[in-house]
Amino acid sequence: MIGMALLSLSSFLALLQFILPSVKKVSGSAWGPKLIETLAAATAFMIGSAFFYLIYVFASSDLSFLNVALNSHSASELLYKISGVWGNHEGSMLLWLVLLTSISTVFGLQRRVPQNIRMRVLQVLGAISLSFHLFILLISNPFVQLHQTPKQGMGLNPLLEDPALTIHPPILYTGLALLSVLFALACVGLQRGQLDKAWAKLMRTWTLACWCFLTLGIALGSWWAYYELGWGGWWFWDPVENLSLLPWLVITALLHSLIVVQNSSSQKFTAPFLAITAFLLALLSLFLVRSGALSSVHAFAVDPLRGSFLALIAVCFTLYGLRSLFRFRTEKSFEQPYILSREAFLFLNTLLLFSIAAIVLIGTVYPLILQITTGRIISVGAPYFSTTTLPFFLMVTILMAASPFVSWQQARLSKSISYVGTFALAAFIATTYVKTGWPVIACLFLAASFSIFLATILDLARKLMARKQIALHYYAMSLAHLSIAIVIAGAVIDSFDKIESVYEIKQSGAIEFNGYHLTLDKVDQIRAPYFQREAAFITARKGEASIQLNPEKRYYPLHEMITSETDIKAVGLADIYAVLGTEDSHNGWLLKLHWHPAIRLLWIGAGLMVLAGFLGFVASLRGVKSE
Amino acid sequence: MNRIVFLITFLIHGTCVANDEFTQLTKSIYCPSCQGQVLDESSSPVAIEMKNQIQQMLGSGKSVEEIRQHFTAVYGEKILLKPALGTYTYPLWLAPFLMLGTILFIMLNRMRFLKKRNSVKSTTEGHV
Repeated sequence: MIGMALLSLSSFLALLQFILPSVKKVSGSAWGPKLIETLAAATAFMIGSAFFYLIYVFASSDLSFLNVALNSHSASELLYKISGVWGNHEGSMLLWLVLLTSISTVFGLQRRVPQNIRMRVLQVLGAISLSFHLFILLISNPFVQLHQTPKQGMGLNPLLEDPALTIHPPILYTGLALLSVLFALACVGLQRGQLDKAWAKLMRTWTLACWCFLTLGIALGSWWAYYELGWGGWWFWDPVENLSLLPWLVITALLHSLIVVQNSSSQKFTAPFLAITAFLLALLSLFLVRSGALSSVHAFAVDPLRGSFLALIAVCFTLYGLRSLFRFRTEKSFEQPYILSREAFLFLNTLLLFSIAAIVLIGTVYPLILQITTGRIISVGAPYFSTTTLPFFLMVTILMAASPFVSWQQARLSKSISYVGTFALAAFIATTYVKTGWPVIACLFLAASFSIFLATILDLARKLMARKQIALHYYAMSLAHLSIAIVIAGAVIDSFDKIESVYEIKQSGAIEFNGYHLTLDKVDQIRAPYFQREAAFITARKGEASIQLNPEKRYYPLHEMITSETDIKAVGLADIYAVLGTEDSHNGWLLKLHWHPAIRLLWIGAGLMVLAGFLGFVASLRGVKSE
Repeated sequence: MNRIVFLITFLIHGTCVANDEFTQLTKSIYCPSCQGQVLDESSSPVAIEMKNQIQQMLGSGKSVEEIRQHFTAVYGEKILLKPALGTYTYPLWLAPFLMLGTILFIMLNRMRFLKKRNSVKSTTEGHV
């Protein structure tokens, strides 16, 4: 009852937030914008209270609620009882609304944004919040009560009982909420014809915040897949991974195209177009995943009504976005940029990132379309995506390495580009010579990674030597490029130099793996509250050093599900990765061992990327204050 | 078209794909009982059975393509990671070329190619 009352109240407030700005009496008055801001804050407060009530219900294992009975178990840890709130469809939708309304409130507090723009943006955000309020009230109610209270809950999907997955949804939904702000800002900017430098500056702040959260969300998801699934990979081009990548690619393109708007006031259509596309792609992903069109751990229970409602929301906002885009009028024609200028490079970068997003989208939805139109069922897996997108990614890396050496508006290339070019060629030849088994593109990528590193350091050094003041945002940009170089190096080395082997190991028997001498000390059977564990104790020795590995297998009788808990130990930048398999008929255990030579580079690089985004965000806030 | 796709695939995956027929097969076929997992990575009963079958078939001199066709016949096309090239997959494989063409077209149309000596005052340093 309490939950429903709070939800209905906040829906009403969201409705007011959406309608009132269109009422002349309100929008024309001096108190109007203030009222809308207050409404946004009140909606956030109401929906937040509903959310905390749901958390309370989960934490106290109140099994009279259907949602609790289906997704929680009274014996599980408090952390996973709470994360169970967003480990299901209804609760996660509520979480998304909480974050959307909170971020709307924060936006309303931004005094530097002109009052009328703030009000219009809050109106668009109100429309988004209202449509999801209705979605929750009508078909995704998390507060449904049962007539009979069951004795025990079904428990959370064991794969989701994990620290990384506890924070993964809140982070991704924050990214999605920030995407909504970008969408609203783009639509309002287009409608008012105000795509000026001040607009670009405001967009930049919010884009950087959004980029940080999306990057972190994707990195956490990837890290989870690496240690939890036990397949030894970190990117599988699985449909849901692909969909999460789409807004990230488009937002990255947006970040770069905003620099052009800020510096030369050209390419004004690109930025709002990208912001609108990114949000619509996120809505499309939500529809594809939650309607059950794509099966995954994110799909939860499938309900056709849900899909239709989400499709309706997506169509409405697509129409609204298109209407805003058609408002765009080209201003006086500006001079076309020279092909070797920084504008041209940034524009090409935008086109390339957008193309990658388009290809990934086509590859992800093509099987669905084909199945609907012809009934033919095919899969589009990793080989398609790597074959088609890697050449585009390579072009992006080349642009990154060359970008410090081109100038705005001018047709002047810095001489240093020839050094980097020569270095890149040398690095490529050296890599092909050292890594004879590698395919050409892997060598190209590694050479590109080294070149980006060199180019960025060279650029910073050149500026420091000339005793020029380097702005914080320039450091942020350099750090972002360096961290991408690190990620590329980690990804390439891991993809082509990893070692995977499956062994049969007996109690007190030994095996040799990549210079390590491994012995199985024992396998313990342990009963945990609501699952059974089989934990292996393995010692890996190499010279003096010895590493303990404890991979586990868990059996969840409630879900009739077996999961493997990998054990991963770091050795410098490398990982030794162990997965326990099944016990075979002659007392041996199957043991899968992986050696990931440079995987830590990938996680370090991803962490630095988020840090760089945060630095850029701080810099963009500072820039506003000083003006 | 076939040749172009083959050439690009070769450049990207190169020798890593071609090293042995068994891995080539197990890395290009999904495990039918597990969600999105490749045969090579899976240790489910079905996957183990299929891997044994592959070994037997390779032993009896069957070609990679024949074995792939055998499994496609049993489990359907969805078992292949990489969809075959046919009229029904042309849009899929043409998409990247189309994107590349569009990029070239836009760049050629929107950019200037001649250097202009008396260009506007430099703003590079201003940006830094």
